[in-house]
Amino acid sequence: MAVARVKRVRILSHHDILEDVVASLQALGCCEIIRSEESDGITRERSSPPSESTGSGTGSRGLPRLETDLSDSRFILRFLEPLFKEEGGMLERLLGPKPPVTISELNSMMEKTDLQGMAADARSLERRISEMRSEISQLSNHIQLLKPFKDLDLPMRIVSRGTEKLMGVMGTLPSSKSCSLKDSFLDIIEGQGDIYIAPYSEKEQETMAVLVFQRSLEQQVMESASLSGFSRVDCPQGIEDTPQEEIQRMTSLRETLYGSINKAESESLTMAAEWVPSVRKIYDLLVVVAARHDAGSSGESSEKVSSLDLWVPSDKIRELESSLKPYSTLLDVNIDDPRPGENPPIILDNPGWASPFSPLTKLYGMPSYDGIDPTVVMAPFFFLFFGMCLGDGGYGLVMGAFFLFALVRYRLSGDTRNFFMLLLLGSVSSILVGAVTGSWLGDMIDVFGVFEPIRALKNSVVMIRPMNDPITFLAISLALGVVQILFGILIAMWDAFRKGDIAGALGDQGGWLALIVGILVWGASSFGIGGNGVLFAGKALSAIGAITLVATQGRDKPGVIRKALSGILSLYNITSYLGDVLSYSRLLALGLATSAIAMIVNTLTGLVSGIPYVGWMLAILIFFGGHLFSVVVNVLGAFIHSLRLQYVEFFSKFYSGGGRIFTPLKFETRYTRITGNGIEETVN
Amino acid sequence: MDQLGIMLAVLGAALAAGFAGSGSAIGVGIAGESGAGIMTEDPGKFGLVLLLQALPGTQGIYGLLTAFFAILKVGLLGGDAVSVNVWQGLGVLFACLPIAIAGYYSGIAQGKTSAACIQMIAKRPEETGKAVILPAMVETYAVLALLMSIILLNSIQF
Repeated sequence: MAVARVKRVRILSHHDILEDVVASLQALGCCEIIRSEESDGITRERSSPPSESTGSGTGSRGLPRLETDLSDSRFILRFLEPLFKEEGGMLERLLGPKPPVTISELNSMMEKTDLQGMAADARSLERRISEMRSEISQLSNHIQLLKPFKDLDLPMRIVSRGTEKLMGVMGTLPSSKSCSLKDSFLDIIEGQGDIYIAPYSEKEQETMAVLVFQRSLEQQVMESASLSGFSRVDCPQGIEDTPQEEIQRMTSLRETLYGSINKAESESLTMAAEWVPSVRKIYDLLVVVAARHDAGSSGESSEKVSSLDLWVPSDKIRELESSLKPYSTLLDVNIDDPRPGENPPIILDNPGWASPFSPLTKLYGMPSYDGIDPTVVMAPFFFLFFGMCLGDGGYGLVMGAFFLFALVRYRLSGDTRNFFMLLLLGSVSSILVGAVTGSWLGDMIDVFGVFEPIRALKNSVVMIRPMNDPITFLAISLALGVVQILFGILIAMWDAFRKGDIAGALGDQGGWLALIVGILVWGASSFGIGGNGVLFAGKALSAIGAITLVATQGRDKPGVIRKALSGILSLYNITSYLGDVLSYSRLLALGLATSAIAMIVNTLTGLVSGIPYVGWMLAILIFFGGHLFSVVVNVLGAFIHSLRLQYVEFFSKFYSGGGRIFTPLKFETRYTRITGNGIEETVN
Repeated sequence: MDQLGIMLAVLGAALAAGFAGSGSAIGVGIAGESGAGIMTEDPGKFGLVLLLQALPGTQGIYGLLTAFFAILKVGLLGGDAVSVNVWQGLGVLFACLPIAIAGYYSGIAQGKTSAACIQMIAKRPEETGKAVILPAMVETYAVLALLMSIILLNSIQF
């Protein structure tokens, strides 16, 4: 149960070596930068400290250049990465090992690459493609618009532009009004013009029309047309010839555009294949250097000296000192304990066997600096509960094989590895529980004849069958709940003692412990366990607990009456403990659900295998498909519910979280793994 | 009359699978609508959204499970024929009710919680752990109902 101790380190360093110092801190990867808030405004103004000494490479690039480079590479990746074919697939890239590189390799690569040129090329290509796309969509719209008039033998320039005397309008109208429009229009124009109504079928509610008339009549025509429900649609500029010709022209133009888009896209595919690998590396380098710049300007600085404030875990202090040794003449290191009231970052420091469980603590929230780390105390319970919720040996094997394969195949690290280890442990637990309850893919071994030979072996280790005897299993589940809840209260009590809150320890936790244990003993003896002595002890313990609670729970309240009242009311909380314990019945329910779903799959398999000719095929399909579905659903359920028991029932007794996770300055790379010490000169 | 007993048990199974399944369907639907909204902004969240959308789906499985248990109990899924009288049939019917009722309502409620949690991970994808736990709080009551249905079914003597 440990939160690692950290030290506050202040490094005063000459500007000449600041960059190297930050680089070695980054390579060390165990120092969190403390940002001094009051100096933030000033230091942001100043770009990174001058660093001629480091010579070539990204070190000498200014901050503005770095930022354009970053945005350039980000753009290239955003545009080209979706087009890039990953070697060995997506999973390989996500989980597989990252290729190792050194900073100087990356730097020389960066030197050789014309990032700006590439970004400009990529940008213009992207712009070209999107322009062509929008042109195509415009053409399609125009074609759609002209389609109803494909039989109209009229140059459209009369509609789109008009002549000195004539003009045309295009528009929609309800099909039912087409006759009335035609009549009124012909009345007005007196032979000087024409109307064309596009053919429509009976189902179409709306149709289109083109009216051609003398300019002088515009107002009159439009007024009478709008009475017939005619509403004008603008004819796009540039449409000159007859609709038929225009449609042909635009269709062929569109085809050409499709062709050029295809070409541009294949161009971008080659671009992606060529550029993505190197730009990825450059991106990593830029991110590393940007983090360095940021860290270098985090502290205060004078003309010649900059300060760096760091949180460093106590056990890494020695490493820090030895890595700073080369610069000892130009810097000063000052190591301190955290000041009171400060909120240092949290590193979970757990023994190896419990570290797979630390992601669960992180999910809930880190402990505070002087709080308890719940990982170790939660680990055994989670292990057992997961096994009980999944509760099937066969599914445990399937799941275990999957995660073992993933762990071996992709050498994972960090929390991903921890998480996979956790699920692997869960599968082990599930196999154990499955063996004890005789559940291997449900009742597979009992229903299929092929498994006859191992039936006796399976039965030899079975201790309880939850299907036939759910009540016993329920009792076990609830008993485990009582154990975990009492354990939680004990931890809280210990924590209160540790912090010197003896009244709280005895009153809050002690009272409940006595009351709950007392009631349990009382209950046990009334079932005939133990004699009168046990009965008396139970009653006495309950009484002591209850009296303690009544006496202490109102201690913050003023006045005797209010003290007594809130003391008595606090006894009502017994219901929440009751609820907590009952909540553990899910261990039985979920375990039963797994076995039962598996049993259903097996039953269905048996049923369909009797169908002639295709039965065996259906049986195979149902067996594998069904069990695959079942294992996914049940693993998810088992994980969530055993986690919930920890978070809601267990943590609520003693744990509150509220800490801040330790985020050291390190190589935060996405595509590569940086080896070496991060400084140019010493590589090779 | 023994036919009526069997049919009452079948009614129970139908109610369990039907109502719990409907609850899940509504719940998964609500969560899915919310998830589709999130994915218009960020299609990369598909995995997380799918996980949260799947959570209200368990009630349907519990209902199906209870239904299978019920018809297995009265010998409709092969095995030895069991004679079921009306009282036993009624017993099976009643035993199916907890998961039918709690499955229906908790599926919907869990769907709403899931939808809200999907909104939450849209803004804070790092809090997925908490987002998964909140819908699981609702599911507790479906689990308890399932437990009761199974225990009740188990305790009916033939």
